[in-house]
Amino acid sequence: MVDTNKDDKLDLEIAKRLDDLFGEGDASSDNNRVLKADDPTVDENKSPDNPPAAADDEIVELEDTVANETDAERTPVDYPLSELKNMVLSIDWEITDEVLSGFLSQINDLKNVYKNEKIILMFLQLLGSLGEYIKTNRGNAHPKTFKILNSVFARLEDVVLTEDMEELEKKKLLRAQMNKYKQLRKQVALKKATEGDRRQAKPIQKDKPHLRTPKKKKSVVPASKVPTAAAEEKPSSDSIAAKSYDTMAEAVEELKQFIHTELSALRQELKILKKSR
Amino acid sequence: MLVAFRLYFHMAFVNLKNKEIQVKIVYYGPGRGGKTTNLEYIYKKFRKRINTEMVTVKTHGDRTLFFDFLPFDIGVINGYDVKIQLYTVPGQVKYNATRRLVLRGVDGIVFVADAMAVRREKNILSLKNLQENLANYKKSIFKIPCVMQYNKVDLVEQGIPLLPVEILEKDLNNQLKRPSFKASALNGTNVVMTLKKIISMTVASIKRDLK
Repeated sequence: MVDTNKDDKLDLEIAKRLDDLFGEGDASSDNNRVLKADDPTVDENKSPDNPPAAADDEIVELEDTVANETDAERTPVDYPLSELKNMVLSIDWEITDEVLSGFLSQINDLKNVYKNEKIILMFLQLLGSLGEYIKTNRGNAHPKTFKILNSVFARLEDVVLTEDMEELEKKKLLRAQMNKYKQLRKQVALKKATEGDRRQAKPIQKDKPHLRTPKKKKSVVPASKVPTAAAEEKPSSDSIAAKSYDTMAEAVEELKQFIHTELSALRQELKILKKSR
Repeated sequence: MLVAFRLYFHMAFVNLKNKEIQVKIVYYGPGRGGKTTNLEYIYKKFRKRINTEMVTVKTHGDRTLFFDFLPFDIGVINGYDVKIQLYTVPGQVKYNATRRLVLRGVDGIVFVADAMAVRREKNILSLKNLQENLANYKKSIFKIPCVMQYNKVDLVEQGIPLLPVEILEKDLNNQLKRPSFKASALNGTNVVMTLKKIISMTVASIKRDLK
């Protein structure tokens, strides 16, 4: 026999435990958001008191995303970057000639629209450079490229859509994106240089991973392979911290590469084994 | 002496000796739909409370290669220490073997559909794929605890064409009739509500099977 009182008590206990763990703003903002299958029309608005954990910046290095906190104020009608945003999202999904051509075409169109606004032009040039780099390298583009693309676009949105933003603030946003972009360039150059070294060196053990501290060296990458920004800036003073971070990021990338290589090899071996049976 | 077993139907791991139940919940759905973003949001927002680490392995293009894994403990309930394990599967079509592996022993599913109009077909294919992969473990999509999440609703404000909820419900939930949420994993809208719902449903289901 089912003890319904006990069941109810258990359900309540689970609900309370979940509220304790996941309560706070979310619980209040999410109330009554369950849509029953026969009532799918309930609309929901984003909770203004439920920000996307922006204070915690340790997990995702770039909090900048395509959608951000000012989204609620925007409407399709007065949103000049709508088509470009569509393209940015499409690149995030899949990299095709059509998408990239559309993206670059949008950049050119917007350059004409904003030809008298220097900072916006610089943002568009940054996006254009990233687009060209992705077009050249496709799936082999540095993984951070896509995050930075989103990040640059998000800040461009801020600049375009925030009417009372001061010039100084705009410059600050641009500079931050330029720095990210420059870091990416360095990492791309470093990666290419490392790959060049690997090709030249005689391998002792095939596919053996070798994590190493990247040495400061001249890039062997052709200029066309590296994204180029229209504007250059001097390196920031906190380059030491940035370097150690870069080294770590590079090491992680190498480790990932190794895992991928090993898995490919294992798959091949499995195929051979299957065939031999 | 038998101290640990998996329930026949739901495969929840129950350790009688340690009085522990492990509940496996898998976030399933098409690639780039927001499965990982769901877990990242939960982890970022509540990691101090849930006191855990999130494990994720991504490819070069920042796509999930194996799975994301977020375990946490919700404490002792009815004398059992209930441990929740959240997984995501890689959404890309080519990683079906990995998806099947991750589904092994699953107790509850969150199906993260992409509300963008251009992803309509991908959602349907992914749901069919889920059904097939569950069948592989002799499980029915109609019986396993499941919550539907229609993600990326925030994009409507950007002029991105989205599927109306009616269409999403018709495409994906017409027969299943599961609880569903419009959500924005990026902003956190309804991420927690989805999680709470699936945990409640799954624990209740396990409890029924334990009787």
